[in-house]
Amino acid sequence: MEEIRNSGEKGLPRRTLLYSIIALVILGLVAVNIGINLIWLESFVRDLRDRSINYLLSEAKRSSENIEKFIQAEINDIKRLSQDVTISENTEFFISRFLKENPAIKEISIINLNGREEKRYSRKEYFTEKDLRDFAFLEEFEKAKEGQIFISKVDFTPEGEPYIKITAPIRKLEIEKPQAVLRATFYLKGAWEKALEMKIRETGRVSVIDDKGMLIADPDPSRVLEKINLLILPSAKSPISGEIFRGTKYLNEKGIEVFGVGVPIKILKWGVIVEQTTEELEAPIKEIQKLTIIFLVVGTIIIGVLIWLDLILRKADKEVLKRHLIIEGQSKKLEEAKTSLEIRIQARTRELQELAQKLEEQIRERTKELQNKVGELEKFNRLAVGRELKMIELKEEITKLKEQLQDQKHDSK
Amino acid sequence: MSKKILITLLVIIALVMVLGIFWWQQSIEKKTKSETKVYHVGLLQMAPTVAENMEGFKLGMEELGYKEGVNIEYTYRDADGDLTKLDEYAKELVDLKPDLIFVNTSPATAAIKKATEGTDIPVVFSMVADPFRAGFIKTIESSGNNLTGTGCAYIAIAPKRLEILKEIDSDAKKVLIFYRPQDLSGGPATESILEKAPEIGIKVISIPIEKKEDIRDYLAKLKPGEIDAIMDPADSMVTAGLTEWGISKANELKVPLMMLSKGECEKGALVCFGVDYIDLGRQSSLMANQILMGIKPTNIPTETPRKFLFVINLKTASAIGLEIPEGVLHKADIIIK
Repeated sequence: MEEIRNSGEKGLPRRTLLYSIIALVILGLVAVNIGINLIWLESFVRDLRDRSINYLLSEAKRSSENIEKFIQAEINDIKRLSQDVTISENTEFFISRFLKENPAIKEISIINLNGREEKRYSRKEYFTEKDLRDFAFLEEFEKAKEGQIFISKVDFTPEGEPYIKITAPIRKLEIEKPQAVLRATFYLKGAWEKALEMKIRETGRVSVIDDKGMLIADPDPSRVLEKINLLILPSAKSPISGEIFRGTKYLNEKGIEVFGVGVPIKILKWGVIVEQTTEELEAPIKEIQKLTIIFLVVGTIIIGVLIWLDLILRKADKEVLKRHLIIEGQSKKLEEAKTSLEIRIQARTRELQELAQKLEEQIRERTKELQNKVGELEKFNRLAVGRELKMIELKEEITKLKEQLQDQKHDSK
Repeated sequence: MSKKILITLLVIIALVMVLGIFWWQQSIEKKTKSETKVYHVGLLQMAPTVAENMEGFKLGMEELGYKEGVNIEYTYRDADGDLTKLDEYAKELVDLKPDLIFVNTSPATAAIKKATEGTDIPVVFSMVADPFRAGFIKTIESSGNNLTGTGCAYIAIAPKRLEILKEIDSDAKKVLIFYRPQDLSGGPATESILEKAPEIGIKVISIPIEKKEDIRDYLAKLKPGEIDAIMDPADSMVTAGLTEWGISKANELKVPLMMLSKGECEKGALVCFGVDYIDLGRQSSLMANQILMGIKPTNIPTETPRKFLFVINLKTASAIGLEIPEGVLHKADIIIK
């Protein structure tokens, strides 16, 4: 029993060195696990980042297409109008209808081939002779007079509303010489109203730049009024060269790190820039990274604890086994002792039995002898007693006879 | 360690991890829900006559993704033309500390401007004839305060409206105009009309008024032939007076009546040319969205209307025996037959 108690005290988790080794192994496992998973995570994160960039690019393309479609539609309408108004008696009808149907076109002028503005139409304003201008030698007029469609650079009203002027030759067929020139003032706000109002999560922002890199549309109109040139931005250079810019990180005008992509509006050599703060863009990536690391660490620690428990319990099993063996050894000895004792007892018993038998035999013999002797004695006794009895009988007879003799004497007397 | 214990532990760990992921997802959903901000917007209307503008604003907000009861809540007040109520409602709305106040017409904007002084509650106004002259903004580009919005260009379009009236009835030479000199819309609009009228070939009889009933009294004395047309210069009191008494009088005198909105044409005015109230409300909602996205009102220039509405009532034309020229009919957006 003493031996068993000693082995139990020395037994389980008290060996510092062993546990240090186990802890080191677990830490090693954690490190390896995290390392392997980070390699996997890196490719996953890259994929996720690509998706976010593609999303920004798709939004930029959508904005660009919307703007391009809107502007192209207006230019086509102006071209059509410049063919319709050749029927002079209906000029006012066509222009009135056009202005009604195209609210982005605020003014239309008819300019004769000498460059004199003959009439100006507007749905909002009343113009008189005094308001009419001379356009001779101006690029917009001269180009249209030569048969080209001229689109001016973006200009701003005093209210900061951007507009362009489109001049087109008035003629029925393209092969004909122009009869006059049509000049339309195209207000652009409507062109990018939808594009600029597009919600790209919380911080996404769509801006439009012209062919010189000047900011011409932005959700914050005060930026447009500041007449900022965005050519310094990496996302601005490619679009105005007609190329898509797939994006990079940079600091915006407020010093906030953003991710910007750029898409060209080919028809006017303008560009759409979409920016989103990297904080928001990478928030899901960071969240996934954080959680993956938490799961990895927690998972590895749990596995480590399991391994540790397993090791400790294995050790415990061994100790238990050892104890079992010790107990088994003790039991065996006891068993052997018991067996030996039993054998000895059996032998003794046998001896005793034999002795008892002998004794019994001896007793029997002795008894027999005694019985014989008793018999002899009884016989003797019987004989002796019989003689005595005979003697008694004889004595009694003698007595009787004496008495009878005496009586007879008496009687005789 | 026995296999059973190991398997049990692994199952427990797996369960804990699954529950952990579930909890994480739930917490993210909860977070996302709690992060969906509900904007509180106050709406102040001068009178039901401009209700379409308010409808347009709400419609525009909805198109921009602001769903009433989901991520936006409105507190609506209509002063029904009562200036005392207007001040009271303005204060009431400001006390609610909304994220934004949308207000239409100059008197209501003035009331809100006064009530929001000393606060940073952003205000989007609409249907203000001249926000600069009214003192609501410092410049068109930048208000310099908590206000921005859409004007209704009534002063700018006033001569155009007179021109249209002349196109409709080329015989019209004397046009009667009521106005309040102190009104920030009617006063300058009348001045503008008076300036351009000779060029259009019209003589304007401009009658200053102090109260709505002055219109009734003047019209009562009017005899046939004294005027060729009546026009509202864009003065809310004149609009109310002419709607009440002017329509019937114009029909009685068989002269054209030029008003501002579709509603007045529907009530019997011959012609209306003015701002498309619904579209102006929509246009204002874009500015409200910019503000709710974090842009300061002072950084958003005041805008003029994108669309105008030209309505002709052919029933009235027929009643007063006027034939509308084909060229004018083509320009009309709405023809009431």
